[in-house]
Amino acid sequence: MNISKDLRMTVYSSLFAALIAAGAYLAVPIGPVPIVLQNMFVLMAALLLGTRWGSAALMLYLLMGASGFPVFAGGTGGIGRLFGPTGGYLLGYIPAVLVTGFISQKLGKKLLGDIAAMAIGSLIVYSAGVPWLKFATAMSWQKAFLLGMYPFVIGDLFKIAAAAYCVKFLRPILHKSDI
Amino acid sequence: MGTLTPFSYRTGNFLLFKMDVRCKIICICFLTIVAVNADYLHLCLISAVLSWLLYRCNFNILRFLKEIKYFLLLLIFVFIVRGFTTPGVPLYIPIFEFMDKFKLMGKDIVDIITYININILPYSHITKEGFIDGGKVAWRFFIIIIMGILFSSSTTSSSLKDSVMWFLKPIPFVPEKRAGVMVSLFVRFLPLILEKTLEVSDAQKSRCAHLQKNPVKKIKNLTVPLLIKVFDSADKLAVAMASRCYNDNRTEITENTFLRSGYENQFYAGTAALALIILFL
Repeated sequence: MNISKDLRMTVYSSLFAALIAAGAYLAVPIGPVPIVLQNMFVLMAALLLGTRWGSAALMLYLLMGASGFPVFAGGTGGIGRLFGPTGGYLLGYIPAVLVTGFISQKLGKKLLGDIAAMAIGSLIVYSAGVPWLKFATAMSWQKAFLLGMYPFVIGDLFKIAAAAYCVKFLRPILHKSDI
Repeated sequence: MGTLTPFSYRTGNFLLFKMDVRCKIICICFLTIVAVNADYLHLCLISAVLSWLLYRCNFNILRFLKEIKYFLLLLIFVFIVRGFTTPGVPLYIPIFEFMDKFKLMGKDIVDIITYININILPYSHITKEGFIDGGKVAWRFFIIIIMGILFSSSTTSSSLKDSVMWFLKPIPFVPEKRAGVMVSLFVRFLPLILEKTLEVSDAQKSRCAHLQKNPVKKIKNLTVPLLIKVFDSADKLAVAMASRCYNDNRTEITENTFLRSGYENQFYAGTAALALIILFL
């Protein structure tokens, strides 16, 4: 059946917004700290949907969370979370998706290009989240990095590696659907 | 979503459940912004109002605290960090008082501890200012969380969708009908994803995948089958929508209807009064 690209991408964007929300609950037990898949889905949305529809998925997720739907980490919602200590990470997802999608497209959607794009995307999330955490809680830079970045870097590397594989695997499936 | 979190919608007869969702959103946004400037007295006032609302909504506070335990840990950490790093008068716990009687090399032990605290290890003590400041910051964030939870537990997803469309309508270049459809799809997909995750997880366990040590393979084993399954569902949904001639300019079967309790104006007035107290008193 001939399905318009807009309709299919609308459905996929909603799906990725839901995946990002569910990602806060999907934890892979690795070592003492389980790895939560939320930011992996954010980066995958950028790679699989592109900048426009990836950011639409992100905006939908943030809109639902800000409206009070319990989709932010810990099962909470409300615009207050965007102003809270972890609000910078949530808002940092938007430029991260735009930049990740853009870089991936410019580098020809190759494996190494995707990995580089996701690494830069992750750095953008931290560059928004850590200063926000620092200023919202008035802690020192050292403590902000210690609490808001260092413990997650190793997990992020695993997630980037896994996401690169997943994207490589899923792209042909999505292309089959005329994306 | 029902099994996902205690913060999801529940039925109730209290005023909050019957109110216009747009009123709730506006009031919460307003209160959240002013709560960032709240002092201890204001925080007590807001907490009293929120406690009453939680009580009237029959909210299980213990379950709620358990669910947000990681966020509480973050708040405790923020409190401790601010306590130790804010400059000011050292705050000694009463256990040090008995040391008044002891001397070391002819000097009072308390004097030695004070000297070490101020000159050698400046961040080795909680200051009075840090204690007050840290408590205030943690309390503000906690209140913001409570407001969001009260909202989400008293609002249905369909009314939330209608309100999103209503708020987006005046914004140019934003297709509010498509946004409404996306909200509906989001609400439909979320439980589907969790259900499929459980299926994939069980299937992987039956193949001893949980014994896998490689973290990348562990993530991959969960996400690839999950994404294939959910994309398949999304494709079927897109076909179903296309076969029903879906487009953005469809005829609305029903107009957006918002529940009105009749107390919205009083709620606006109460919120404005609370905001004025916080900002000017």
